[in-house]
Amino acid sequence: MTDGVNGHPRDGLSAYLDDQLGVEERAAMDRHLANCEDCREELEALWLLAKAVGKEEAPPVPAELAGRIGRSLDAATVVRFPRRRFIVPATIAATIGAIGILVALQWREGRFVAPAAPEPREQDRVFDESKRASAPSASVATEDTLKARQTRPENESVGVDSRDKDVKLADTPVVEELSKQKDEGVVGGSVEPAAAERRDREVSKVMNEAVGVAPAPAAKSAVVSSCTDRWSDSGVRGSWGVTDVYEGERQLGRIAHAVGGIGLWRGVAEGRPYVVVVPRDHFEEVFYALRARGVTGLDDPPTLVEGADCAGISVALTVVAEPASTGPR
Amino acid sequence: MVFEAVRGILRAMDEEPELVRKAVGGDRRAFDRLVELHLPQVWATVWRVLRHREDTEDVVQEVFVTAHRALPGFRGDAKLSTWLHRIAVTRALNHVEKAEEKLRRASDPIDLEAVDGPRAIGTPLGALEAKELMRRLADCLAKLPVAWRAVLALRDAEQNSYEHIAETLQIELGTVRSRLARARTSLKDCVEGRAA
Repeated sequence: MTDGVNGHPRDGLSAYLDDQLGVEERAAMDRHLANCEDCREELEALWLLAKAVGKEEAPPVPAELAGRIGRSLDAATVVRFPRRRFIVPATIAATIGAIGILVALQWREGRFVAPAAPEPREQDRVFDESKRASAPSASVATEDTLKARQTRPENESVGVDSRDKDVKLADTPVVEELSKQKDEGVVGGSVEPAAAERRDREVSKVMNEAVGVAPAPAAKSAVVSSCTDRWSDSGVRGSWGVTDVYEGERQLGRIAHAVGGIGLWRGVAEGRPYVVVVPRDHFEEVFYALRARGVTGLDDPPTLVEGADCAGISVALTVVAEPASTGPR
Repeated sequence: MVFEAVRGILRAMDEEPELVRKAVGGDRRAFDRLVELHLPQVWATVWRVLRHREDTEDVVQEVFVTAHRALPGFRGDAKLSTWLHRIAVTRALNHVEKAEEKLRRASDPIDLEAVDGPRAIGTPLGALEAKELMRRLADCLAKLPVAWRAVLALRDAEQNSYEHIAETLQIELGTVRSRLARARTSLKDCVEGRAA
């Protein structure tokens, strides 16, 4: 009981205050307090302080916080992984169906040839159209099979379209805009061709994942939690002019979630920064994806400090009067 | 007024099991209602540990996003409030453990001159006016190591038992006792203007 300073049991006083001492310890403390005015004063001070800590009130909950939590949950729900799992079987089923129809058409014409290579996925087609046009075909399809493919009724691809409709409808502007930026040469800018191609691939990958075609859901799920636990500020401060702040936040959130990151709101009102927190491995590709989306102030990706698993890019959202060509629609 | 508040709490207690059941089944509206019911408590807990408004907002968001993701695994062994409380404290502590936060706090020791001013050195607690006591208390709590602040928040602000604190912080009962003793003594020394 005399384990404290100068024989005074300072440590024991705290437990005494909370009635956490054993019978013998308590009796010893009672005897000590009866003869020690310093310890009685110390005990009274600790009691006073504990009461004061209990009285201290936390500041009120910010009025907009519940709404932000709701939007965080919305963003997390948009890229829910179970839905992604559905896309793969849907795509496989559609591909098998298309091949079957081709074979049937040619069988009817009495000329059966080996089936063509599987159709590329819809999402790949958006970004790889120009490459596909110039690249030699890996398919062994004859002129007839190509003709058959061209004359294939529209409704043969309905299976894929209807199944993926919920994903596609929500994300069409994102895909179209990226594609448009790519066509206009916005993505990649004046960098060297090799670097531009690499960057193009990175942007496509991030945005493809943002529209829900990212593979390996289990791995992504694990990364999400690591970003929630540990992230550092990359120091990058971007700015994005948008017509609708909430829509802008939603899109940023989806980009973050697509690579296993998280999106966080900070501050209030217009000009508030939104922090896109992403795993270190994906930092650079997200950096370029944001730049391609029209986020200004992003010159070159910085060297990230060691220690944290994820890094945050701060994007201030400002409302522009006219629909900006780079803003969300 | 008080009756209204009590009635509100009782209503919330009544509807919570059904809300949890629906939310576990994926009902987003039910989860939104649970957020509404538990937000004030989660906010207060996280703020007492972090004492930083923006950080608290970030962490509170993380708490509910984490809870939403983990809800299918919520077995109902503990009350939802207990489960959320534990997530909140853990997230708040993790937040502070980030490298730059450690660095900032390590280079920002308790500066008694800044807190009290030279004239206040050695002022007994009992001699302080209530308003002045609360001002000093707020300053000193902000400068305490987060692990100490957490036990003070859990015990003195929220009146949790030592056992609950040990379980929440995943530490031994004896560690709760010693950490709380050191935290209280340091806080008292700081508020009185003595070396902490």
